[in-house]
Amino acid sequence: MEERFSPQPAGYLLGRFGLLIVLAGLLLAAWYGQVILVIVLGLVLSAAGISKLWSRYSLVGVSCERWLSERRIFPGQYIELRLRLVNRKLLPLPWIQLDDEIPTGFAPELSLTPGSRPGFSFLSKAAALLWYTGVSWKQRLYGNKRGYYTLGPMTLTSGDIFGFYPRSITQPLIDHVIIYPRIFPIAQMGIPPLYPIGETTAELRIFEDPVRVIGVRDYSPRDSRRRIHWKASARHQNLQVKVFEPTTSLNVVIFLVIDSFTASHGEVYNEDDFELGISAAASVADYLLERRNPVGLFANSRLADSGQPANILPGSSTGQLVEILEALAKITHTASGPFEEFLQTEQIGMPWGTTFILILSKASPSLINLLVGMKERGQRLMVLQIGEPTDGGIEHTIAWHNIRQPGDFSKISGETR
Amino acid sequence: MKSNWQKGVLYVAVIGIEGCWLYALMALLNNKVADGSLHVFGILLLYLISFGLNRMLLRLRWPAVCLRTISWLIWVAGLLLIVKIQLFGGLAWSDTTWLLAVPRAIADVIYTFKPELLILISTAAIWWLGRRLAYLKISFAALVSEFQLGLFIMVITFFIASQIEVELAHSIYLIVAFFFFSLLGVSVSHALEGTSWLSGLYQGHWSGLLLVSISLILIVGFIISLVVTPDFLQIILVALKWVWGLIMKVFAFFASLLPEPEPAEPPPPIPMPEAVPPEEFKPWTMPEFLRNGLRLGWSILMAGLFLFALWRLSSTIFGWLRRRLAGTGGADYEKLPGAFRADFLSFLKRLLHNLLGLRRLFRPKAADKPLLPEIASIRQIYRQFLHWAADAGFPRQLSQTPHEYLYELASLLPEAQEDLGMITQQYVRTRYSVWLPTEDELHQLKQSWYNVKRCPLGDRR
Repeated sequence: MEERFSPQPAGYLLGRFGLLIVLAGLLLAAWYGQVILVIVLGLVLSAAGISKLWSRYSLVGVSCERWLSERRIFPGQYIELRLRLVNRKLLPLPWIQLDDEIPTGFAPELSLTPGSRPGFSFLSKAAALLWYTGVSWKQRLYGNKRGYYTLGPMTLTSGDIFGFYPRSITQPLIDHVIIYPRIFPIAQMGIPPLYPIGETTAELRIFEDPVRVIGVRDYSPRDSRRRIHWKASARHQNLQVKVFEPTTSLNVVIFLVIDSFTASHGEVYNEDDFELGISAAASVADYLLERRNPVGLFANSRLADSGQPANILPGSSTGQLVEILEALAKITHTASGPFEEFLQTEQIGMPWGTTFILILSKASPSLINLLVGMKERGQRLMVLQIGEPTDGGIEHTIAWHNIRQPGDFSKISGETR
Repeated sequence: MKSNWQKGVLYVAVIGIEGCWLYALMALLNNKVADGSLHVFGILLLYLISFGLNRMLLRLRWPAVCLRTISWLIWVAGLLLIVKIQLFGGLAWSDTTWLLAVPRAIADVIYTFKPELLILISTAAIWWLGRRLAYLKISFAALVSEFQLGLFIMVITFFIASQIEVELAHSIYLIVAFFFFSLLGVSVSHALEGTSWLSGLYQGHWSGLLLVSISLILIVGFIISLVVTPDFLQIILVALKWVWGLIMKVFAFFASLLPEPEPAEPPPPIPMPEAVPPEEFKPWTMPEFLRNGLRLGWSILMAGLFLFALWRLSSTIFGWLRRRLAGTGGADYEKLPGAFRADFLSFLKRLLHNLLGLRRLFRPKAADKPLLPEIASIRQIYRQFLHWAADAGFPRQLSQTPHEYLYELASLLPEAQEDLGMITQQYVRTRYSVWLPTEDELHQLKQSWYNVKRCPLGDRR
């Protein structure tokens, strides 16, 4: 909702109290026939009245808009931001200032004033607009750090030509920009196959048997139209698609252990390791999806937009990587709960044979016990440990890779156990 | 070059403001102390000299003490010169009487306040003001302070002058000049503090507009002073008394409704012979109030035409002067072709619609079709939902369809996506089709609305 406010007028004389005194003085002077004093005070009231009237209507018919060339970028890329102001009325605006709240660091070449929230700055632009004119500015915003960023709201400030009565309006014009995590190249990765006979060398690992329908489910925009079950759709009054029995599958699920990166009070041990961990998840997902393997992502983090943990079921559709990268961009330091509980809840729905890739930093004893338990139950596991290696005693029984820097991604190889 | 020109305007404005109130004050003191024998303009020249000399001294980059000493030594010389010229004009330069006049006036201060002392104090103050201005960094706040201080001094001066019945010459011009310099200075200083009309395109238009604004303020100020007279106040007082009397009459009427003892019968009126009014022919003349109104309208029309002509002329001149200096600062300006015409047509349409609406008022109203209770209930819930979202800072825009609005809210409240979808779906169905909800669906809708209400949408701003 638009929020209008009038900052203090310039000078005490032009405030409400000052003008009341001037009015009283004018009436007294007029009563006693002091013409010169009446003229002086009349001019003060005239100046105040005209300025106030101008200021009152200055922001009527003024609109602003923000246009972004992209809303999703990779670190190091930039977005073209275009701000546009339009004065659609006959009253001209001798000055108007637009303050757009943007994340600090988006415009490194400008010296910005601190914003109303921590981590934000005001990108300020000013102009003078005649009747029925508009003005626009272009600005490059650089995204260097992964995240889910908010642009806005915008504050417009204008007033009379003398600047006596400034007037502001805050417009809730919000846009979001997603900066994906960095993706590092992985030369080769030994993923545990589903069947012990060995993994197929075929590119596509999922084959669904179109004659074996095992059920129906709600239609989602990514489903092919050929899969629509028209009769079931008619019965449900809602589009339904057929679910076929998979003949071969290799499901990989990436689990990001957020609380292994943070201390008990929620502070991150090492910011670089945390980002490296997220990049590791992105790189693995990219590597596997490139080979058309179904990949899912789970993270016990409170996502920046919803506050809920990330849970993306395995899939290999074209939009799956984007979905995973978006979720990774929104990951915050705050854990939604203990990972052990999270894993136990989420793995219930996983089909047998799913490969778990855990990305963690410091493995707690309880987490090690959990991993040992999973291993003993015959579940396929791979652990990517970020940062300094720790000696948990299970590194030799589980496929365990240590990643200390981006270059280590190219060293992930060999068959997992 | 451009910046120097703008700073020059600011210095001129401050000199103008201070010059006006100094002149008023000096004129009053001159009348009272020296019987108007001093030449105020001559003394005020020292202000300009002080400003100019101190600006030059500032460039020397000498130690501050040195500069201050030199400055005040020059003041002493100026003081003696003014005393000699203004008070001892007929005396030879070799006669040292004029040199000792000031010390003698100081010695006699307990007996009399001589003009030499007035010159001493006023030149010291003027010199200090000139020196202060030379060092002053003029900003918007400084100019507003100058305006307020000057106004205060002028009001006090004119008030004292009226009380001691001293007629100050050129008072009206002084007031007009003071306001002109003040408003010009304030506007330019404000424009210089950020990107505004002084640094963008169409500077000619803006400069013209500034002059028109100042002229308008002066005209309105004078109209106020013409209207607010003792007679006008008397009329207002009479009107207030009449209103008060009316209120009292109303009270009296209500009081009369209360039971009270019967009054004694008044005596019968004495019969009077009826006077027959003489018949005479009265020609129609325009009433005075109509004549005054027409005169005022004519004056406003003339003033408007004058302002328009002034704006056109000044904007053309300033435009020609500034055309080459305009810089856009990375901003792309655009005109909105057709926007005015569209707005004007829209205004006419609205006007016409309202007129037709007025006509409809006189027609018998067709009975409103009552909505079915289920549909009314759904619409009511959707209205409440819209109010709730708007209060949280996310109102539905005129251009948004219910589904577009749903998409916006669902991105903010993913946890309530299902409930939001339910509310929107039900509303769309009842609003745009002949669908009737069942009892269960209505119950579900109410539950969804209850769930949505509990979501902290306001926190997602």
